[in-house]
Amino acid sequence: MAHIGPPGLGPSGQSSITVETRAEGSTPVIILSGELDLTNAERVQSAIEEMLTDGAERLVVETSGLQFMDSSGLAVLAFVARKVPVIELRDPSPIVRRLVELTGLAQILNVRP
Amino acid sequence: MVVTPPRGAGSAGSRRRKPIRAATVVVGVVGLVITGVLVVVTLRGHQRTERTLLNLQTTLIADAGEAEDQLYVEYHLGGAASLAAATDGDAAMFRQAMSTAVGGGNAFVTGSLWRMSGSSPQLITEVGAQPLVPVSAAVIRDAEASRPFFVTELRTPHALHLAFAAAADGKDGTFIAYAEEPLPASRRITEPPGSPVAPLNLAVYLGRSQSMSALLETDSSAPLPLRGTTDTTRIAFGNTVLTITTSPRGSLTGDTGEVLPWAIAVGGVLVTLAGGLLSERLIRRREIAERLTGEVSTLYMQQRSVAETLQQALLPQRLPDIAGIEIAVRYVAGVSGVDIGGDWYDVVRLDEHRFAFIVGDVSGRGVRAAAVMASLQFAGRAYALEGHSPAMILERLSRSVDIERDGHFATVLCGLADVGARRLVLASAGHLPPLILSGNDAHFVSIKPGPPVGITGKATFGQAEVTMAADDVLIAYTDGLVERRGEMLDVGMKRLQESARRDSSSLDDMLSSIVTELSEGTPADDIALIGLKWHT
Repeated sequence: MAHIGPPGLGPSGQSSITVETRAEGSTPVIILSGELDLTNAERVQSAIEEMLTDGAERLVVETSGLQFMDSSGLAVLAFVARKVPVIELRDPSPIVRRLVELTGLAQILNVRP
Repeated sequence: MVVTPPRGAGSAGSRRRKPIRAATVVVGVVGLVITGVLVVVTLRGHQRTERTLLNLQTTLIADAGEAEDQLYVEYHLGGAASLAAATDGDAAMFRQAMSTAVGGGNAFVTGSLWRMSGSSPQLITEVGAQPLVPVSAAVIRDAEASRPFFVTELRTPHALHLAFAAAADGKDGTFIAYAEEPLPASRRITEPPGSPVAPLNLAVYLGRSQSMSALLETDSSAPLPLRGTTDTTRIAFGNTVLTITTSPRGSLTGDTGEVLPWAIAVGGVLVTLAGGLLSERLIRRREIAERLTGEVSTLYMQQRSVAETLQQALLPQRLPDIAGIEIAVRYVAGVSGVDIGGDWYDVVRLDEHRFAFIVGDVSGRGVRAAAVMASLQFAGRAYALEGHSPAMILERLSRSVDIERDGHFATVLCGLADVGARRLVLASAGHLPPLILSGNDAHFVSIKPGPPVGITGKATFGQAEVTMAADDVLIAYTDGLVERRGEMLDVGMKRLQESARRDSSSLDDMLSSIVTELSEGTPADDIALIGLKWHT
């Protein structure tokens, strides 16, 4: 499932991804856009972990701008799902939605809509 | 693995004296040739300038000398002769005219006036000192025929005089004015500093010859005739010529002109040496860099090959022989560098009629991913041998891996086949659905997948049951086969469907052409593929 290699690599050898955060009330919202794969999964995971406050009940991950995600990206979501009771995958792009469906992760991520 | 340290600078080998590289020799030769050419060009230019200057100065000296000497003789002596002709040889007038030219520091030391009547000269009057030798009739006769004046040398063992004689025709005959100018016995003259002649050695000869006997004067301490760079010019002087020869005392263009070629030579050699050293250094560095690159590349290949060997070792070396079933597998390593991937497949024979198979893919890469893969493979094999159903096998595997603890999770497809009953039970932990090829129809088995193993220890899995007809083929695979960046998974799965539907002579050929068609050379990710074909 790993995906590393030439296509789409930035100058640092990492695929390009943007991680933005905001809050809806007390719920942190993470907006991912670009490509989430083996080359940057670790960086994204640290970024999300950093902003998760202790005792957060819910986390929203918005992925409408995510054009590609591989199994390492799924691992990030699965890992984060361990840290908060409820994780919501909001507005997944068709590619992400299909990946989540086929890998059975829809069971642990609340996909909306 | 034993790693030999790279032999870089500082190892014993590099202290040995190394031969100079060809490129350095070329740099040196080119540098020296350029220097040589520059030196020659500069030297020639310098010499040409020196010669031009010498010619120019000699001409100037000659012109000035001609004007001065000719005028002096013509003015005083010619003037006195003309005066005598006009006054019919008036002695008093002659003496008065000559008083400004004879004696008292003037050029002439003696003067006399002669009348030619017939062929014998008659002395009219004399001024100044006695002539060096008595004035000969021949000189006076020669003077009569020489215009504007006659000049000759007079020598005694102790002195040298130049004798001048100018003639003028009067009513009753021709009058000749005669004068002598003494020259230093040594012929040496000293030019005052700042004179245009000062930078030059100068030798003046009477007549065309440059013999010592013809030398009138010189300011040169060097032996005569002058040697080296010389210039000679001749100017008319009375009935004869003066030959003026010059050579430069030093450099006429100053010291810079003289030193420049040698400065260029020294500078050029130094620059060439520096260039050679630099080139040698750069070449050596490059050689070291190339060697290191080669060594790094070798190490990389070794590591990669170790990773591949390890991966191959983890996969089953032999597939079980099960009557009525043909099994084929493929494993293709992706272009992902040295990191080992986590794809695997396994087939476990349970009894005569039944066997289990597993295809899985651990997320990420590296040794840890491979370790997770190995543990899942061995655990899956054990659970299958214990007789668990596919759903139970996945449930148990889910408890054996934890993404938080192990850093990886895995998608797994597990199947249990009853060959005789043609029954196949399948369960999926987040794995892509297998493809069944039945006659001309190719479709993906609909299995409700549970989460990948390692995500949650409380996962439960559904099962799908399918019945296989004779010659039906099931293909289970990892996502490397169908996944492409920026593309829906369904597109890749559709490609697989179409590729599988094409006619193939055997199961093995089918897998080969599927891999070739879908991976397009070297795939980005690893691909594991298993094909099962029912023969009964």
